[in-house]
Amino acid sequence: MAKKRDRLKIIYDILKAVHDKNNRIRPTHILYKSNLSHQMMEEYLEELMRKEFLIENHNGENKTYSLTQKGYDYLNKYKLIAEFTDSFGLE
Amino acid sequence: MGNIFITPQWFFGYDVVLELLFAVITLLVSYYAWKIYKVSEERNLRLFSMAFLFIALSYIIQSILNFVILERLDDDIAGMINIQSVYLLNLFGIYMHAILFLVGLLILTYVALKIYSLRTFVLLILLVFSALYFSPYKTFLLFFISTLLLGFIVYYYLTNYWNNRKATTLLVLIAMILLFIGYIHFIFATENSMYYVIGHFMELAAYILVLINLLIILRVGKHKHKNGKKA
Repeated sequence: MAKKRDRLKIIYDILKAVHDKNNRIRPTHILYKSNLSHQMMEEYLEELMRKEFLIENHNGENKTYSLTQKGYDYLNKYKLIAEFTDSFGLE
Repeated sequence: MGNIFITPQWFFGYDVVLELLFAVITLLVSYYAWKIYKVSEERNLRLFSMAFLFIALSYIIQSILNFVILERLDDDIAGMINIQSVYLLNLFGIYMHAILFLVGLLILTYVALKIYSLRTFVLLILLVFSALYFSPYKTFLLFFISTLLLGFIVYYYLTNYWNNRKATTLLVLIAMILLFIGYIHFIFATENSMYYVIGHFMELAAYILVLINLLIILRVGKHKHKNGKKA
């Protein structure tokens, strides 16, 4: 059985999806890339905006998300975060 | 711990150095946990950092007081001080170390419980410290409760290793087992001073493993996301 994807990895996947789409992504793409339910995705997006990893942009009726510097920092340090939390059992 | 009356004479001074070393290692863990918390904003990392900060403070205080005691004992050889003051200082050192260490362990236990309720943590603190306040065997109880909490933490790290089998989780598990065994020895240190020494060496082995683990994490963590913007 495949190991359950942990929270930190889900956050990484969302941020990476934004990054890979030239830092401007629609919610539908996040939903597709992150492989989450719509409700779960909304919860994660809310958390990521609260933590200031993402910002929401409005262009007419279109809504997109972009990474902030904190979001980039998370992507850069993801390996360190994952290693630390894994080995000390902090997930 | 740190009791000059249970320390073999040849071990005077060595314990001070060892406790300083433990303080440095636990401070490093606390510092990196805090740094990683600032990037990830994960609550558990903040609590973990605080737990290790308390543990580091417990060793710093223990080390300083043991050093003062060592100095005073040198004076005593020249017949200049009252042994009662050394005894009181020693007792104060034991309590301060054990209380700070206990708070650190309680925070770690709270993280391990995964019940995110401040009320649970407050309840843990109240139960432990009211039991200590009313017990006539304070020193024994301090180390006994620390050992119990370490036992719980060992179980937590055993399940962590079971679910995530790799070198770093194994290192942390072994480190916690060694700390646990070390603390069992401290409980009996008043019976035989060699237990005090063995306890310290168990702690030394445990913290060396924690340090190795931290160095592995930092080395692996150096690899960055290839397209990430640098801060």
